[in-house]
Amino acid sequence: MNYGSNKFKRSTVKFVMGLLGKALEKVSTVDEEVRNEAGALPDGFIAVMTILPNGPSMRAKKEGDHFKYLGTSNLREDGDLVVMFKNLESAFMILTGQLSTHRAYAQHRVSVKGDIVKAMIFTRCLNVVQAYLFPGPLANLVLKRKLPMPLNRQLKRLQVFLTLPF
Amino acid sequence: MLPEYFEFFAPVKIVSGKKAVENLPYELDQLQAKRPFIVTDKGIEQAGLIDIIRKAMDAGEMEIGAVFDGTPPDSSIAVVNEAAKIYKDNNCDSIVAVGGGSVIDTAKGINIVITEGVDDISKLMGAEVLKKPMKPFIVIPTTAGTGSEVTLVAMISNPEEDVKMPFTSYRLFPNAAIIDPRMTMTMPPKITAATGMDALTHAIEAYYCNQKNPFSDAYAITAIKMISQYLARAVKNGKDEEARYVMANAATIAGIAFSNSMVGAIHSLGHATGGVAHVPHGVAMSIFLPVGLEYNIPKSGKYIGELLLYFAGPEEYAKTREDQRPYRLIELINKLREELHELSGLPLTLKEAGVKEDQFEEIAEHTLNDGALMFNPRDLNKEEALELVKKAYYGK
Ligand SMILES: NC(=O)c1ccc[n+]([C@@H]2O[C@H](COP(=O)([O-])OP(=O)(O)OC[C@H]3O[C@@H](n4cnc5c(N)ncnc54)[C@H](O)[C@@H]3O)[C@@H](O)[C@H]2O)c1
Ligand SMILES: [Fe+2]
Repeated sequence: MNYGSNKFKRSTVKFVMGLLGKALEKVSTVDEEVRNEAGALPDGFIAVMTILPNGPSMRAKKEGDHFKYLGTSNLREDGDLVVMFKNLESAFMILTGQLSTHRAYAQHRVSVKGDIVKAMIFTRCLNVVQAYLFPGPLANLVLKRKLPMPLNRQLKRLQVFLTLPF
Repeated sequence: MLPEYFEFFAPVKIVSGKKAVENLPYELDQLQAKRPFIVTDKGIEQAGLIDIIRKAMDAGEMEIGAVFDGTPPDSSIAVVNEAAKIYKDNNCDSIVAVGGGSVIDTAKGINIVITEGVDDISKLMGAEVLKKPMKPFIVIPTTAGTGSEVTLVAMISNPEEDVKMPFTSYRLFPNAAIIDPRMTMTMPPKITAATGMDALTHAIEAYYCNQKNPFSDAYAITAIKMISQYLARAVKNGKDEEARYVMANAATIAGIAFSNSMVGAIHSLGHATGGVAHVPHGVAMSIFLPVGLEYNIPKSGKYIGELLLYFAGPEEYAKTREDQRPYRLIELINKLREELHELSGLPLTLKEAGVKEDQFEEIAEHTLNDGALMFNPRDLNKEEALELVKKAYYGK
């Protein structure tokens, strides 16, 4: 049997993870809140998002005062902090905004390997990134609370959007 | 009515009741263990509780490998590493924890170090890092509070960084918990009160935190009923065997509730206060419970209000208007706290517990990095955490 929908979901989650990774790099260079958070992580710290059992994965590295996106792969990757989606379907629901991060944790759909304090910091960074990426109403569904979006942040958001494809 | 998806796991065998400790050799034998390493602390040894263990082991014709009584409050990574050495030097093959949360979590730490064959536990911090099956592990709680005998987490303090490090893994569950009212009978009133409030907080947070489900609800409700009726009695008269027996079981039941539904902001605030200002966990729970409940009313008022039925009974529940129920519950919890304060000197504010104003900032910061916050229904930022700390400090 050829389960075409799995193939579609696999490429979708890989694409969205790549988008998140790129956005993480951009947002962490322009947004003060994320930069401050990232500052608390050790240099060279590698954060990984991966889908069990065998990928795809996305990797990012803390470098200086921001994150550097290291790309996606079709393998299961390891790092200092690994956010593991337990299965493809869960990853798809979460990464397409059908299931919020905190509900995903509540529903045991992700499992985390590594230091919890650093996981909390990384999650807060990703929350800000999601607020940048998603239009208001969707961000409200995905996040526990609305991120304040004063004018200067709106402008930075525009900046992130304009440079994201590159 | 039901969450769209949930999981529930309670793999610890419960051996509960009169003279239950006498079954220790049998339970060890079931696990094919022959030379247990007994982990405890000086207070428990002095209370004569290890003699009960020694006698039971003698009757069961089983040898004790070694007794380690050097557990400090809140455990510590250095002590875990030291104790693991003694375990190896004495060719032990299993672990029996006899004590409160500090002892139980130390024992979990020792099990990690022995099983993974490392010399330093801090290398294995975090979640899901542990892969190998652990040594046979039996817990005999001597406080009625933490529920650590049925949880998958060990909180071990790292004094250098003023933090309590969590280790979590499904492998950390003990094989069995032996609940014997004789073991909590010697607990002093203030510790009885503090640890009982920890258990109550577990049950209450379990009833509204994010992983709540019908199974964890059943455990949470049962524990709340038991604790509301028996905690003050156990504090008033430590020799009240019935009260001790009910409280010991309630704490374990609450442990099963919260290890499935998780705890939230109240525990995050408490862990942070424990790490920064060394306030005992149960004392911190008692202080933050009303403050944290009030904070969660906007998101979880319905569930918090439902608890009035189990805490105060049907009459109180029926005569209180629905929108007033969460507030009434907080009022009654405050009444219980005051009663415990009168009976045992349990502190009512962070100020009484010795916290200093210049520690507020650090406590708020650590609160945000505590994993339990992930499971609190209402989000909490640093300013809000600071507000709650101040409320808990000034008592208003
Ligand atoms: N792993 C978990 O699931 C979990 C949950 C909650 C709390 N904890 C941890 O548990 C620790 C607190 O544990 P605790 O509240 O049980 O207190 P504790 O283990 O620190 O004991 C407090 C004191 O009471 C004395 N004592 C205990 N039982 C006695 C008895 N029967 N007779 C006489 N003296 C007795 C001890 O000697 C000790 O001095 C904290 O470190 C907390 O972080 C862990
Ligand atoms: Fe607790």
